Amino acid sequence: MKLIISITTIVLLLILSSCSSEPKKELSKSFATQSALNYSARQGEFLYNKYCTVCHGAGGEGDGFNAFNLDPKPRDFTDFEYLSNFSDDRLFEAINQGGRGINKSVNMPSWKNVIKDYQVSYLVSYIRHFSTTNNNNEMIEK
Amino acid sequence: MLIEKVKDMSNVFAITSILFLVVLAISPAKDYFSEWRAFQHEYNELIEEQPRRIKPVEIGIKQFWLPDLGVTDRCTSCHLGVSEINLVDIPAPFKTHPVMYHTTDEFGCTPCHQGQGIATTTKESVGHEEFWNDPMLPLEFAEAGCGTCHEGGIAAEAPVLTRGRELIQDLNCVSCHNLPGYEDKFVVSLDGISNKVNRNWIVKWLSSPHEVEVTTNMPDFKLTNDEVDLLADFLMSLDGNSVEMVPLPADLLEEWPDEDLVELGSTRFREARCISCHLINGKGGHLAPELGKIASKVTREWLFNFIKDPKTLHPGIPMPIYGFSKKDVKAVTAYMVTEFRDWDAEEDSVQIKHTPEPDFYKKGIALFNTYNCQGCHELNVPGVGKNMGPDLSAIGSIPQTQLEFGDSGIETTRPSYIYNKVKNPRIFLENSRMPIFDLKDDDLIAITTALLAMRDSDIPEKHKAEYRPPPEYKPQGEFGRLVEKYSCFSCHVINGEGYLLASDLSNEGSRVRYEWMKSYFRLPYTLRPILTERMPNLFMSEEEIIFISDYFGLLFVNDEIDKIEITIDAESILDGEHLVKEIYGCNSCHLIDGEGGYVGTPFDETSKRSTPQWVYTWIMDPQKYRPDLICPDQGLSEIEGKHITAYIMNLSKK
Repeated sequence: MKLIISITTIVLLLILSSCSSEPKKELSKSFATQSALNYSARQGEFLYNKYCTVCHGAGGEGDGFNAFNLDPKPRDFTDFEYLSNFSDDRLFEAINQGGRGINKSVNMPSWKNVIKDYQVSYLVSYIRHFSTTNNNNEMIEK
Repeated sequence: MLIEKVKDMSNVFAITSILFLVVLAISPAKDYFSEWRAFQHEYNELIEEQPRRIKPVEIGIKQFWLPDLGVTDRCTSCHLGVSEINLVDIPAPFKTHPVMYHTTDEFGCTPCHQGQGIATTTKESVGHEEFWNDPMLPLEFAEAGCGTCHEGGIAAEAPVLTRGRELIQDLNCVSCHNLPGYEDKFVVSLDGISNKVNRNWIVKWLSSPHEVEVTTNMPDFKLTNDEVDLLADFLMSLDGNSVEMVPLPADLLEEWPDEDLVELGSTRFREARCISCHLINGKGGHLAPELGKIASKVTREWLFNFIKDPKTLHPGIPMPIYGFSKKDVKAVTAYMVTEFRDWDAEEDSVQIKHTPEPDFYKKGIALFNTYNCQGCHELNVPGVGKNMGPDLSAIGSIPQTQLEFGDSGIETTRPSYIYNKVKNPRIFLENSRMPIFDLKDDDLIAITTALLAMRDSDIPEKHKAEYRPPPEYKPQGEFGRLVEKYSCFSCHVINGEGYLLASDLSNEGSRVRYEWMKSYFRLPYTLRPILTERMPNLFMSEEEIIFISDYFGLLFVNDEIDKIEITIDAESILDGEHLVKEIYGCNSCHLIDGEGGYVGTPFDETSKRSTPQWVYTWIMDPQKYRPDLICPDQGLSEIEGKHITAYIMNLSKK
């Protein structure tokens, strides 16, 4: 009988040990405000600030410091209505091929030899955020 | 008797058999009810709802096995959509991985993200466990993964990591910590400081450097008033080791110097473009200290000597020695002491009576050494020495158990330690020596990312990105002396040496015309209107200008550029104009006939400055000699390039 008990206890102990879990410690979350942008858009933000802000403006409103010299004016990316009729593929083409690739002003140059394809897709994600955030804000205001 | 015993034994046997069966069943049951299996079923259900057809997964553990890298990553057992391009908007863990330079087939997951690749539950793979040293990097610091292989310098597609590295260099962290790959930065020496500033200023400065100069890199050591007094007494008592200064000329002895002299000084100050590098009341360049209140900071004698020759007072300083005449030096000093005063402080400028403690010198040195002031500021006084902080060469892989969190109540992970230590250096240990840098959150994240990348990693060398430090180039002879005198390397690069704020001069002889170069040295102007940091007028002598122009024209040439043949004829000019204006839209950034953008250099000026060979080289591949330029390479054909060159070269001849 003793044998049975001892075997059972050993087995039970084995089972229990495999199920045990550590007590959780609650610690303060130490950093940082997780950016509202996802990874692609964050990468796009850096590229946008380097290549695009001079004409399209830091806020995407088409009001960069070089914009007043240009005719037609650079695209306002906060224009939700316009942007929502502009597919991601077309935006991609506009950056990659420039204005002449999509039958728009040649003032927008082609960037395909400087900005790699996957980086252009980061830019597309970032450019999209201008019109979506703007739209959200307007909706909240209403 | 025997039968009874056998019966007993068979009971034991039966029960143990059942128990062992149960035990054996646990393992398959655990497997069957596993997290990953549930995820895989969920995934297969989810993709059926997708508009585009996606192949369902076969149930089972998935893994990348890259023996070369020592990687066995089972993350894709749950992260099933990682390589599937159409699941961008699906919630984790099925979401498409953002596109990037590397693929998972190449490197797996953990070389970048860290964590426990072999594990098959969320908790274990994230790796926040006692015996797993490298838990997954929080997404904020994900680029630390890039830095593990891309060691040193700029990691082009990791902007946060690159920013962090720039900050670590700029804040001179290497003065207190061992950080391989970073260089000591120039910081002014304290030799002769008692002839430069007064005690009041030192007290104010040491008590709160950011209050005196908002943009300074000097961190706040949070010294007590007693400590500030001791250090100030110690520094003011050192006068035996300063460079001999020229006494002030008579015109500068008056409290308010002659108005004509001040007027001339104002003109020279403007011509020398001091604000290209210096801030004046918050406006101007960011390369050198604020000058708005300089006359209330430094003594007049010191300022006069410094403008005359900054490099004798502070050897190695990035400021050029201007070719000012004797009168110009007096005039600029007169202008600065008249204009750049701290008008608020003028009234209480009376020296506060202060009697130093009897053993201030001994205590002062001790404090100076405690806070490792020598790490940044040189001071040649016996008894002063370096007193470094912890070695950070492998901080990104330091065992988490070795980090001392005190009773801060802060999450006990490595990223959280580094972030909070940099943010508030005294948080884990009240009497820590590390000073407060007062950084913004973005900068804190960038620095933490760059520090997390400093790892003792076991990734084989052949998989690491090759990092070649720039070649060391030290110009010799008369040219070397001029480069040093005018601090060319503070803004320009030659053969890999210097700071790339302005153009790379390595091919200057092939780029610009000899006559233009000479006239530019005589009176530099701004090539690109948007720049804030502009080439100053260095007031070089005519001999120096001819010497340096000859040197550039003879030695810094490139046959690859010079041998290009360009013909300029009416036909090519006409086609060039069509290409520039109708096809490539160059005028959106460049001025042509007074119209167009202000981003690049005006084309109207180009032919006076540049050789046609250089114009052609540039437009064919703007990034060829400077990869960081934004001018978009339009992929021109040879003919197009030559026609556009002909057009640009013909522009200002009209």
